Amino acid sequence: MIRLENVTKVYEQNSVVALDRICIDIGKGEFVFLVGPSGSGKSSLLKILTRELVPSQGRIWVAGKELGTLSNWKVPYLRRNIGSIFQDFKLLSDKTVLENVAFALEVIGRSKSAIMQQVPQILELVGLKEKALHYPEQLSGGEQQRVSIARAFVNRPLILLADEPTGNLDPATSAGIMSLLDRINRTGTTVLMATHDKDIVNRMQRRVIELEPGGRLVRDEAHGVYQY
Amino acid sequence: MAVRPGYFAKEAFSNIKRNVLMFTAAILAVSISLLLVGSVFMLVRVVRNITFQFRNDVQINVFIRDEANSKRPRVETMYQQIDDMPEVSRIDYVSKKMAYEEFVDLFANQPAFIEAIDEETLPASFRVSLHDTDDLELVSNRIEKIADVDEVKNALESVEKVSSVLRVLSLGVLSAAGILVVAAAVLISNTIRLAIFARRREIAIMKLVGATNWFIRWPFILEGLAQGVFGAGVAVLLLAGLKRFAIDLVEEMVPFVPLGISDGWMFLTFAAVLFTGSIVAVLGTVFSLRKYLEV
Repeated sequence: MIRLENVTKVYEQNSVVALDRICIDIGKGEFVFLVGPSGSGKSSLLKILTRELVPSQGRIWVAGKELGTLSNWKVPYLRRNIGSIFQDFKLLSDKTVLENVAFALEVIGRSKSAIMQQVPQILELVGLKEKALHYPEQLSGGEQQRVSIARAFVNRPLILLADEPTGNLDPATSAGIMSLLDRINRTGTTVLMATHDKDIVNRMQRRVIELEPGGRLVRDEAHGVYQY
Repeated sequence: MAVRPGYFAKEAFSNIKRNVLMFTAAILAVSISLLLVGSVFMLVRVVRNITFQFRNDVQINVFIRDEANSKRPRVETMYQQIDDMPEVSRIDYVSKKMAYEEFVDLFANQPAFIEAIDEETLPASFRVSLHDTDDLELVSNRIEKIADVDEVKNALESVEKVSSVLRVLSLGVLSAAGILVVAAAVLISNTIRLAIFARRREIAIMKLVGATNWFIRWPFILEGLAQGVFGAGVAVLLLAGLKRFAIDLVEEMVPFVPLGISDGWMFLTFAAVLFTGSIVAVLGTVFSLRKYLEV
């Protein structure tokens, strides 16, 4: 599902090496934690997968497509196979929960009827059906992250990328978010989650890929725990 | 992908609502610049018509010495000599009496002028028309050498003076139009930039979830185009007014000045104004999209 071969990313402005000859292979339906201190290139790696960043070297396959040969106009179609969630949720404050989620379908040209069918389903899945008409500021952090997960998953992508999704949440709320991600993973969706959250990684006992500053891969364990 | 004109129009409209003032300012700039563009179109036509018509009508006035005029054979000899020139198409004798009557007609509302002269004051003359106005100088010079000719005059110089003034005027208006067209494009570009800025979070999410570049661009293009087309519409109304209340009025008051702006030419002017408006809008919009919307 995701495959990196000798991927190197050097930021040209300041010659900082973000990723150094990374090789990773992630199969369909896997749940993978990406750990490492700040500046170890976790976010760069996620951005390379959605082609927000282009690597300096190496080859990448995402959902069966090689990104190096993918023309620009096809990038949006690549992104429809990838859901993304973030530490800061990135919700639109002038839209309701329902509208925020529907927006993701509207802008890829889905029909009204498809939207009316899929959005309530996904809100039910994330447990926010009752709050469909609330605005983001009326929700708790955990609820906002659920909205953002609903938006990322409403199109049933093959891959879900999560960049510190629990970074702003307390442990109890984080646990709820993790069980939601776990449920999504059980539907066959590949989940790649960058995190600093030791407890979560240790409790879940999933595959752990660790990067160190300078963007080198130092560990790739099938049932790892978090360690420096 | 399904094309959604309704969706794009709705989004464009909400952009406009967010920034009505800038939108209106841009429309005004577009309409004023296009008003000038349209005026240039009309002016160019007027210059062409006036020059063309007057040039063709230009006659040579050959004034006859008074002492020769009283001797019929001398006048007949002059007539014959001019009439024999191959370039001459027509020659008419204007007696002192006819000249006086014309003068009285022309200055009917200025009695002081008329009182100052009598039938004998004005000289008799020949009015000479040519097959080809290009021979004007040549024939004038030749006629000057004929005996008993007092003075030879033609109106070519004044016609050319008028049309060169008009030409300079249209060049001036054209430059002003050019500058304003650029200003209008900049204003449109600025409203689009503001609209992009206002929607930057939405745009980021659209990119994230895989909206195509064109899907993101369309509402902005529509907004820009609306400014160009509305501006052009206002300009067309103003130009129609200008034609109705200025040009037609001048033609009614001064029937011998053939401004000659036909409905067909007005239509062409409107088309040019609409076309320029759309081009300006598209250029302004594309500039901002390329600069501020990294898709």
